[in-house]
Amino acid sequence: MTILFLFFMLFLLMLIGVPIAISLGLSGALTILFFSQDSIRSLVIKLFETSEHYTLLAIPFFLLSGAFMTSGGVAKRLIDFANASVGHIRGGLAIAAVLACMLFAALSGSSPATVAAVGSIAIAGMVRSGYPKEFGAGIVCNAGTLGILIPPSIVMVVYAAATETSVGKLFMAGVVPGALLGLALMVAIYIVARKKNLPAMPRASFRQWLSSGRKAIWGLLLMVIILGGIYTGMFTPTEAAAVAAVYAGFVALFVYKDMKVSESPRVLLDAGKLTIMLMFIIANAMVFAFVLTTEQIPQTIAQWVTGLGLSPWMFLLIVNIVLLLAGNFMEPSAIILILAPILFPIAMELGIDPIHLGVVMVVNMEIGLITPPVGLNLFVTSAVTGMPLGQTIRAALPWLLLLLGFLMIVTYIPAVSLWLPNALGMP
Amino acid sequence: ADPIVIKFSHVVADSTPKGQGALMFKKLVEERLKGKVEVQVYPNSSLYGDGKEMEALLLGDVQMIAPSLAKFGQYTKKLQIFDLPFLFNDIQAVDRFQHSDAGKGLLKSMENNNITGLGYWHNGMKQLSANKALHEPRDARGLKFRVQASDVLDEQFKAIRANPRKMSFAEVYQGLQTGVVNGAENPWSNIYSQKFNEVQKFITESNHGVLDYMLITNTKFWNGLPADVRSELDKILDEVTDKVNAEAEALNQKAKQSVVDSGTSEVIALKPEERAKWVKAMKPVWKKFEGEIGSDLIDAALAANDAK
Amino acid sequence: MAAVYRYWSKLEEGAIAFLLAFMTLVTFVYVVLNNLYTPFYDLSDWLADKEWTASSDFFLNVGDFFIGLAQEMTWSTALTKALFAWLLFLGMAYGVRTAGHIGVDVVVKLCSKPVQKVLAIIACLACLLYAAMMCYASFDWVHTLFNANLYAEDLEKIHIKLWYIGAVVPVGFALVWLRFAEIFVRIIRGLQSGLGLADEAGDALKHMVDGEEHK
Ligand code: NA
Ligand code: NA
Repeated sequence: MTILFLFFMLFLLMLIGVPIAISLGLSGALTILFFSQDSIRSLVIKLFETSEHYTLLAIPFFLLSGAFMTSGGVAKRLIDFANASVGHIRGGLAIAAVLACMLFAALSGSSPATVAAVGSIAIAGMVRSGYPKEFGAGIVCNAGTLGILIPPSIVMVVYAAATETSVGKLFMAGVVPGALLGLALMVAIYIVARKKNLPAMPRASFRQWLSSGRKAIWGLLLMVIILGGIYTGMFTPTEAAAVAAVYAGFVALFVYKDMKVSESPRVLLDAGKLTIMLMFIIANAMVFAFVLTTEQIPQTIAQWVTGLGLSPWMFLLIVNIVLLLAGNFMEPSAIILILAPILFPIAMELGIDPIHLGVVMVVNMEIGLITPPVGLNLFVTSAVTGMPLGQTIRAALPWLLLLLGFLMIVTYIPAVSLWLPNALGMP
Repeated sequence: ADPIVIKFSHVVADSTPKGQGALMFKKLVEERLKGKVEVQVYPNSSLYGDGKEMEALLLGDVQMIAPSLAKFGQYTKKLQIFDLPFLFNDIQAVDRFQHSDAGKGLLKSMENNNITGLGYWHNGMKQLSANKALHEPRDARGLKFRVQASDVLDEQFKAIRANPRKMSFAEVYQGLQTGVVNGAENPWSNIYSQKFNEVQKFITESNHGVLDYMLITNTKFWNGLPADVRSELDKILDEVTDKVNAEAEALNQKAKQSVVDSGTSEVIALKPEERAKWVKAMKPVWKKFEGEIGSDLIDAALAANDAK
Repeated sequence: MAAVYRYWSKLEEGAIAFLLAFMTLVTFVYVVLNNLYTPFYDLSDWLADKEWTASSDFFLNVGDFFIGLAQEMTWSTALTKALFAWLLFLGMAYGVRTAGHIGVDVVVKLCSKPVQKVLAIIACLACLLYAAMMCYASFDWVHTLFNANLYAEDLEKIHIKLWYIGAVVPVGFALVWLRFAEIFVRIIRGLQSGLGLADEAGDALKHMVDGEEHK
């Protein structure tokens, strides 16, 4: 009864247009009010606790560094470098857009930010060179999801916070799957480009390639700073994010000089607004999950599922279905915070590696980002291209099949995610 | 009538002595106070993390928690006594002090803040671990040590020119592995259960301090319980406390042996003259906190070092 | 009144930018300090092995100086968290004003205009209820913290009490309530049709795209 009311209120509020964050918080509060001896005050403490979570503190810093890199011309130089590297292949500009998304993903922790940064420039470039607009939009919308798979990743930060697993190890586990998905997209584009006879650019000379690489190096260095700093023990992942933000600001203001110092309050405000939006959802999802916990719901579900005697592969299949459904209408961080406490203990019981489960969840969230009605990448793509949402959805759809196939690979071949962290000796 | 609900929240796994204690308490209460009292145990920070559980208790949103003694600095300065380095010779001395009048008095030291102590639960004596062999205080110079948030522990590491770093328990393994922190101080059972020995080459058997918990409840809630229920709960708690403490000590011995057997780290026993150097370096910390703690309390603790 | 309104909006935006910049810098400085002293100590040890005592001592002192600064900054994480709390809870109302909170409006858009208006009114009332409940409950919480008069963990040295940090929660929810009340009035008067949900990052994005076009 309690659980029915909780979820019914959540969906009802969301459907009538109440913001997701408030739907989560209010349905939790009303449930406590009607069905529990607990006080609303305990929810407030939980809400506040979100701001004290050290791991989650990485989120504002990663968003700030992303904002500086987008405003400060890092994205533009990465795209130039990608074009110089693979532009001469048939379908080259599209392949380069995927490469640029991969590179930007390695600097940014957010998928929508990746789409925004790469999409605004790359799609226009493709259209100028004679690509159909839908084609470009569909590619960037999909490749942009790599933002949360290739480290750093805000969704991984949230998963690590929810399950107390290691952020550093999770980051490493995303590298191979991220590269693999990028590669798969590139190959698919190449095949389509051959069939549809899409244009190729003239091959860049070695000198041009080197020069574009030199210009992009300041952005690429950030990758080294983030991962290198974490793995040499110079700083924690949270501190790495703060260092990245300061570095990105420095590069934007004093190296590339694409923005003026007087513009930095604007960038700070933009990053601040994104932080608030995301953290408000996260905090309320924490409250929602807290209500589930006090009502002993995860424990009940876990007992029930364990009693079914599922094999790990069946469980993982169910996990995927549940997450894909949830991904349709929820924000990734909220899904992770609500479902991880339920799924995680069962997975541990079944002997599934926590890091592997994390990567599976992240790939599901990637798909959720490009499925309607709530698909943040779709919104951003539609905003940068000026295409209506419906057209954007149709443009993104064909590539979704590729992502689904990739999800199966990641789900059933744990080595894809676990090989690198294990090879690096991270137990 | 509905049973009285006691929410017992803690931040460690069910398998630890504290986790076991909570479950044992639940079991005994439900046997002996069937229908009158219901205990709900929330392990692994599933309800609140260790930053907010105390506030939740203060407000009456949970009824029982067992924070580490280092976490009480905001509520009473007196409990800082348990963090003083080289104050107690061994866990038996700690035990004697906790059972003394002075020790029992401390359980009531936060009642003006609506917090009542119900008993002390052992975790054990702390050992220093690092990626460097620590024979003398000098060896620790410039190293970063993970500490719990406590002014005394800060000063303890400053005294040997090391850098104390705050870090939640869940992050410590990764921190030690990458080198964000180079060392830590933990009882054997923590070292072994968290696999710290895999990422620390050396463990110095320093026994330099104690890491214990205080089981606490909300004063108003506790005093509002029917007298018969409260006295039965008191009895159960005494029983559970004895078992937890015996279990903790046995576990530490076992964990130490397991660490030695695993061969991952070298265990360093201090020679008397080496130990004297550590004491000399760290003991000045007492002076800094003597005013806040009270020298009579420190004397009472020192007296517990002599077995009667 | 309009001037106060404009002034408040500016102040809100300034506070958000400032808090984010400040927490980033505090963390950054602490990272730098934590990585500064080790090289000096290593250098000193190396020189001591070579028996260059004077220069060894010099670098030892430099190392001591920097570790001293790092040791003094043990409050850095606690302060960053406090600033983060202020950023979030003060910023919620800004999110409402700038339509920064995401939601689902697909179903609502399928309805006829009058039905849309009714749904918008109900949704707005739900938001008002949420803000009111949270404001009331958080006031209760902060009131307890105020009476307990406790220092925040790790921040006693810089004299920050728990309730200084917590006070932002009821204030933040009160501001959110006011913003939704404003929207409510606008919906009733027919000046606005919905809560104005964001297309995620919409603003930040438009700003960025505009920026690109100017070049
Ligand atoms: Na990323
Ligand atoms: Na979706």
